[in-house]
Amino acid sequence: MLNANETDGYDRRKFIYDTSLTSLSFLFLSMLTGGCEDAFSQIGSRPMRRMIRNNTAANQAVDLYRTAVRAMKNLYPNDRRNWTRQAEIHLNYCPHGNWFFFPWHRAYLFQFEKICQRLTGDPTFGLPYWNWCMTGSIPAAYWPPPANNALYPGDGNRVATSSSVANPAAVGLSVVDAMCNEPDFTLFAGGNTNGLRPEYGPQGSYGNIERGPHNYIHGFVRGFMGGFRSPLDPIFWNHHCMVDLCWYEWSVTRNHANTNDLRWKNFDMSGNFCDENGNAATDLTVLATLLMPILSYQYETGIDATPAVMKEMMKNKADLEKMKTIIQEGSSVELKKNIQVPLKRAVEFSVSERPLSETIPADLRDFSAILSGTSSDRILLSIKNMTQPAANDVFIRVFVNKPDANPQTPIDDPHYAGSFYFFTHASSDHHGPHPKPDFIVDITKTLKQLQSTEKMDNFKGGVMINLVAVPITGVAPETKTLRIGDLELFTSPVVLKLMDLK
Amino acid sequence: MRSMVYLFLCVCLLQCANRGNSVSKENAAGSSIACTPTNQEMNEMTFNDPNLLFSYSPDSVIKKYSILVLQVTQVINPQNIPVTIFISFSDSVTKWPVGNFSLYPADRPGEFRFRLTSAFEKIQTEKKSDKKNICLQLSLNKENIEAKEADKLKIYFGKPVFTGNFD
Repeated sequence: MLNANETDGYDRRKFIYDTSLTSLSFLFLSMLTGGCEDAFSQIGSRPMRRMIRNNTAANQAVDLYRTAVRAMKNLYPNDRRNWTRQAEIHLNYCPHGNWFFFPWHRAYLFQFEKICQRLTGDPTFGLPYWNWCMTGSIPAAYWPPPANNALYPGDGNRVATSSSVANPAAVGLSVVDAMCNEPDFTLFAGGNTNGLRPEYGPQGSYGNIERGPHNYIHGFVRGFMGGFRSPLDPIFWNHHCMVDLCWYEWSVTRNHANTNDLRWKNFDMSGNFCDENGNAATDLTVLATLLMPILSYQYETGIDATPAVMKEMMKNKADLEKMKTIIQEGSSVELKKNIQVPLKRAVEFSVSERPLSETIPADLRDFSAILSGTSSDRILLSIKNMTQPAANDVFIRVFVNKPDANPQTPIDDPHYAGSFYFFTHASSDHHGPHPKPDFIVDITKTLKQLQSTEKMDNFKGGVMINLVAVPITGVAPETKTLRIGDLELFTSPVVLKLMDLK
Repeated sequence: MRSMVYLFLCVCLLQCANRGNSVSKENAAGSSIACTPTNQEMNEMTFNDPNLLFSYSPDSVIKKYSILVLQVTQVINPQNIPVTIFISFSDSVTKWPVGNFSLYPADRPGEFRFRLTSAFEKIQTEKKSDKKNICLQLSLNKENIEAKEADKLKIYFGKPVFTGNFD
């Protein structure tokens, strides 16, 4: 379940600081030498992989990508970073139909991105991704004009046209969403085997993302994309970024566990790829790839194009170690609660201009240490057992002490605390009924602001929470009412608690 | 007259043999489904014969298995036609989707696994009679493919395998 905040996102299960690193080796070296602070600052500026769409930042990323592709095409063939040489890596090594599919392609993208950064001179460059869940056509930037567009592979090298649209039954959001809910590693990521392309032993099996949208898009584009020389078409890299995002969504955002099989985790892919200097890449195990999207790059949005949720707290080396373990072991995380103030009743509200306004009987004096800054705990609002809209046509904005809030109230209003989206809707095709979702919104910053601008009498009866249903499309939503099982304020030190590890 | 009757019977028998006695197909209108039990180890799908139907009694699979394993054993696809196959269960009235898969490259065999939980739950809820058989249906997606470029396409499937405990 996606739980996002427009300005400060939280994932209920994984409170992990939104910082990252330019490379894994730098992180580990820094930690060994006690340079955690430096490492964290590097993590914070890790490259952003943006969704291709008509937006300034995304267009800039595509333009930079075009520059990188042109530069790679201009390199001499004896340079391993040359465009054709990069495609040969795929031709010679790519695993398909087994459990190495995801990590091998993640490592391939990682090294390719490094080469793009080096050739463009921009260390913050992140590969843009083609979100075929949202846009079924190859983006306009990948077609002429201009006639010499480096992102177009040339006439005859694509069968799809600029007006071709991928079948939503194969790549649509509801299909991919259901795939990302698959709990089993083998069914999601592929079956075991003993090599990238084993001649003997088990041959593996396809995971659902690979057999579904991944394979479909290759066949949909055709031309170069139809075979193992597919990286000759620049759209290959943007397609595989989306595939990688699906794995990230499954393992990190939705907290599914990768296999613990050492034949998988310790598998060494060193030598398959070349680094940004054209030398053979080293120290590339499957285990190393699991941390890449946390430490070395980040995705701007989830598969449904809502804001990314990995904006969490990680205050010290111990938390980083825990985070590493969680990501690598697939363990779950539990939020430690201190003060808890529930509303203790269900509430229902209509989707209209008027907000739901409920006062939670919390005494602000209990939060004084947090509000004065002497405690680093957070004050969090939990929205429990909420009905999902039948149509995925509204999201919720949360305000504090703002009974006149409405969908037009700007999010820079000092009463605004955050928002959350419904990642799926009630009618989605899943295994069994949907659990009712819980959401958490951090209201610490808002309360701190309000205590300096409002009379404390306003908080005498407690903290008033105002929930506003905002139509996503701008048109009148089908959803008429929403029901919440309970509202609760609680404080938490926002630490990671390992449930599955001793 | 007797020879004409004999000839007619021979033609009928040949047609039956060509169709195979264990895998039945949709009729030309694509509406009615009548499949018979199969023990066939190899099943051929072509552009002109784009559906494979395998019949099961509900009791033999529902509540027993949670995973379907499909083996594509061989693909002949010289034109590199995009291959996408939709999988569903059906009876004469209703179709319950299971999932889909595509081939990449379009002539590469492989093993494909599908979770059946959702489809089986729907069948249990919606199917009025447990006595009638259900068909596992594999259907080649023909959209955006011209028949003349796909006339050599042949996809061979092993016998579908049900596995995993239903829980």
